[in-house]
Order: sequence, then C-alpha cells, then structure tokens
Amino acid sequence: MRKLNKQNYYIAAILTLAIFVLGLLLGLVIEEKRTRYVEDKYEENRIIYSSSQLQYDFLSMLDDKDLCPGVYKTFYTNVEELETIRIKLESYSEDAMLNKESFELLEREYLLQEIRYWMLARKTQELCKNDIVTVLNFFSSDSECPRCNEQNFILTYLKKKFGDRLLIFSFNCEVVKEPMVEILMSTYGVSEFPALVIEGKTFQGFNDKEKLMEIICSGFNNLQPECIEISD
Amino acid sequence: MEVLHAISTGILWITYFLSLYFSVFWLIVFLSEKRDTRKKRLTSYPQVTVAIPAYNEERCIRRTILNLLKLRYPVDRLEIIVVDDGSTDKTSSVVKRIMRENKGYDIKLIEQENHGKGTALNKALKAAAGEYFVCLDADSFVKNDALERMLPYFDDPDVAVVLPVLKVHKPKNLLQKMQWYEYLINMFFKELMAKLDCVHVAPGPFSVYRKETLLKVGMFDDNHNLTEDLEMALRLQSHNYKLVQLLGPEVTTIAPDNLKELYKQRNRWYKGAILNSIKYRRMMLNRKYGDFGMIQMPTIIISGIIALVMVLSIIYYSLKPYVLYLYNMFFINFDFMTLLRNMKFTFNFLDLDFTLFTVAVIMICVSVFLLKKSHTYTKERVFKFGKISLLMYMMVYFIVLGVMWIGITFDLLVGRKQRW
Repeated sequence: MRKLNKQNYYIAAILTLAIFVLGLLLGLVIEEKRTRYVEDKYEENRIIYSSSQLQYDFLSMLDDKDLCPGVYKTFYTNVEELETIRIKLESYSEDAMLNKESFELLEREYLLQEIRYWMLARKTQELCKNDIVTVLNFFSSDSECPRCNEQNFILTYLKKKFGDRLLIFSFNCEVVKEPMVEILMSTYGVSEFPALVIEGKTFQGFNDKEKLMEIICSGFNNLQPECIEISD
Repeated sequence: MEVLHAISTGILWITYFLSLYFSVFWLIVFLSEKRDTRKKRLTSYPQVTVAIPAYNEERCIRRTILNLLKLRYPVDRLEIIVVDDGSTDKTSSVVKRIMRENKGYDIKLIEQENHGKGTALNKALKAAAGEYFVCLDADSFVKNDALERMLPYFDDPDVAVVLPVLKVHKPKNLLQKMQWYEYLINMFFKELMAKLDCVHVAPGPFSVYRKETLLKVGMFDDNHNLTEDLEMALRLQSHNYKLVQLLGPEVTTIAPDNLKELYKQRNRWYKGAILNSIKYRRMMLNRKYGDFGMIQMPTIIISGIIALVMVLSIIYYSLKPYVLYLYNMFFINFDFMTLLRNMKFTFNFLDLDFTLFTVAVIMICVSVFLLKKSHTYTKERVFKFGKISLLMYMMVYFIVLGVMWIGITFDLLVGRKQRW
C-alpha cells in the first residue's frame, strides 16, 4: 500500500469550494448592487419624466411654439437614457440568481415608463408639429422569436441613421404580462412577434431594412435627406 | 436548446472547478512539503552506459557526442552506445569518424534497420555494460556535472530513475521562448509531483535508470509505442518504484521552432499519454497506488479535456458576438459607417460576471505565484527572454496547445473507429 495523504485532497476540495462560494457571494453582492443601480436610475428617470411632463404642460399653457425645440431635446435625451438602462436591465435580469422577481418588477416599471414617454411624445407632437416618426416595437426572447434579434438590430441601425427624428419604444412582451401592454397590443392588433407599430400602422412579422426605410420615410411630413434615394 | 445550454454550462463549471482544484492541490503540496536541501555527494564511480538512439541525426549527433565526452566522469567508467535506427543519411559514418577521432573513449555503434526508438534502446540495453543506463536523445545537451549530481540519488534501492531538469536549448524565436517557460514550469511541477511519487514520464533526454530495474520490469516497449518514455514511467509506477526529479542537474534540448513540428511532437506526446494511461487504467483512482493513482492518473486524462473545453469555450464565447454581428450586418448591407457614428464605449463595473471573475483572478494569482517559484527553484530570471514572450506564454500559448488538443481529439476519435 503506497502513501496517500488524504488530508491534501480534503483541504484542496474545501479551499476550492470556498473560492467558488466566495465567487458566488460576490456575484450576489453585485446582483444587489445592480438592483440598486437600476432602481436609482429609475428614480432619476421618474423625476426627469416629471420635468418633461411639466415642460409639456407649460408649453400647452403658454402655447409658445418657440419653446418646442428645447423641450423636445430634453425629452429625446430622456428616452435615450431610458432605453440604455432598459437594455442593461434585460441582461442583468437574465443573469440574476436570487433577485429574479425584483428585476421583473423593475422591468415592468420600465415598461410603463416607456408607455408614459410614448404618450407624452404623441401629445408633444400634436402641439409642436415636430417632424418625427414614432415606432412601437413589440418583441420577445430569442427562443420564442428567432427573428426579433435581427429586427432589433435593424431598428438600432435606423435609430443611428435618423437620430432624434426617430423615437423607438421597445416592449419586451415575454417577461411581464402587463395589462397596459396587452391593451396596446389589442388596440393595434398585434398577435405575433416581432411587431412594429409605426405612426399608428401595424406591421407584423419581420421587416427588412428596405421595407422599414420606406415605411419610416413615408411617415415624415417633409422629405428627409436619408430618404432621397428611396423617393427617386 | 435550453437543455443543451444547461449541459454546456454544467461542463464549463465542472472544468473551472477541476482546474482550480488541481492548482490548489499542488499549491498545498508545495506549501506543506519539507524541502531536502542537502546536496548528496558521489562516493564511488559505478559503470554507466549512455545510449543514444539516432534516426537521421547527421547534423546533431557530433555535437551531442562531443558534449557528452565533456562529462565530468572517469573515462573508463563511461560507455557510449549509439544505435543507428536505419538512418538514410550519414549518421553512421559521422559516428564512426568520431570513434576514430576519440580512441580513448568507449564509444560503440550499433546499426539496425528502422524499428523505432523502443527497439533501438533495447538493443543498447542488451549490450550495455553499465550498472546505470542513461537515455539521451540526439538533439539534447548535458551540463558536465549532471551525472555526478544525479547518481547519488540511487542510494534508495526503490529508486528506479533519476531525472534532470530539462530546459529548452538556446530558444531563438517566440515559439521556442514560450516553450522555455512551459518546460521550466513543467519541471517545477514534476519536482513537486516527485515528492508525492507522482512522476509519470521520464523524458528522452538524459534520464538515468538503474539497469537492473529496467531488466526486471522488462525493457522498453518496442511495439511502436508513441511515447516509450512515458510507458516506462507508468510501468515503473505500477511496480511501485520511485522516480526522482531534480532541479539542479541541467539538460537542454532543441525545441520545435515552428507550429507544424510542435504539433507533430505534441500529437505524439499527448496521444501517447492518453493511450498509455488507458493501457495502465487499473491504476486509475486506485488507492493501492497512492497519490499516483488518485491524482496523477486522472490528471493525465482530465488535463486534456480541460484544455479542450477551455479553448473551445474561449473560441465560442469570443467569436459568437462577432459572428452574430457579422450575420446581422447582412440585414443592413454592411453599412457600418452609420453604426460607427455616435458609437459610445461605456464600461460599467457592474456588468462583469463576478463569480467567474473571482475564480479567474484567483487562478491567475496562483499561476503567477507558481511561475515565480518555478523560476526561483530552477535559478532562472523571470524576464530572461523579455516581457513580451512571457506575456505571450501566459495569454496565448495555452490557446495554441488547446487548438492542438482539438486536432488530437479528432485523431483519437477517428483512430478508434478504424481500429474497432
């Protein structure tokens, strides 16, 4: 019988496990921090939203069109910020080990916030007659909707192309069953994913870049430089 | 898809766990074992036979033999046997010239048809007059005090073989420099393994065997074994002999200087390791064989799997986003100028995968610690070949080896189909 120092094996196993537990604990700490981060950002955004809301009220009270560009600029920046955090939140939620529920609640909050912004956008548009196009993007996760990823990529691309003249509000319909989203979906007759509502018209299923360009361009009141090629 | 994802994640975490476990295990061994720093002195000079199997070595053999003649050892106690394994070049005539030029030395030449290294070594073993039998590859060079410093370790009758520290001979290009680091760390590990009687390979360059033991366990495997040196070490382990690894006596060997040669070498080594471990599988996780059975035998197999999984996952996870991105680019007709516009790089500390991050950081710390220690014990400077080659060794080399493992795994799987 040869020498076998069992102690080494046990100590190594305990230490390795300890390192993994340490990693896991750190992961949980980070998860907490992530929740806090998203919550804080939400609080921040809520206040900014109130500001946008007030700005709109003020605008409609005075009926002074000269204020429109400034008001729209803040509004647009806020929507962008909201979208960035929403995407982050989505990936945090996927990684979550323990706080799945609180992440889901947060996602719901963000969803509602998106809708609020969308409604405000419509009102502002009516008042200021901004030449912008709004898009509602209903999508779902990869496994249920293989083409959603591609659709989102094209939308991101178009967003880069049109900048602040294109407002996109995205709703991840898989995570939370939010009645408000369901009302939106039935109003616009959305039954499958991906689905886009562009300036009130519904387009179900995947739409390629050319098709979307066409739809978006026809949504503008005036001819946009990006649309010149198409109108020819 | 979900199931597949769960399985692959599981395999990944098991791999992380095992590789961390092995590192921690050897770290504990390193920290807990007492080191014997007493230098042993040679009291008498027993007869020693050095066998050099040579196949088409006309360019190297002269240097190798002349280097051997410089050994600090009595001339009448040293026998050199060159076995020409059916070379098609002038190896034999070069050796004959050296024999004529050095009449005072006991140099012999055995010529045989090409039968492989195992047979060549056995021919030399049968003809050997020495009490100790030394194998020396034709592309390896010995420091002149090596034999003197190694022989005293045979004072324990259970010791079957004593191994010198093997270094890369004058590394020139980056690939050789990376191998320099690899060899050094390997040697450090082997010395550590020897403390638990876990050495599983007695490499070709200058392994000193007790001839009596070799004959007792039955000569080298000449049945076209890919790694007869590894097979012999496993056999000695299976007979419970001791293999001693030293860090003092130095032997240098020429390492492959291009990827193709390296792949050929590693293909042979790793395949030989796997096949021979399967041959001696009865020792696997067998407590009768002590630490060797419990930790070393599984390591031989698992290290290959770890390398394979690691490199596949690295390739997968680092390429996936780009492939996806490229695929998506089709939908926007590769109009990347628009995407580049307003591109924002934001790094958020919170976005890291922290569990994996912790494990990785600890692994890197352990590796750096062992790297430092292996240099200390082999009396080498860490930055001997510059910072770049060290960095390349740490960041890139394992990927090179991992990619080779992919080829080897493929070979093994295909080879199996052919055999059965």
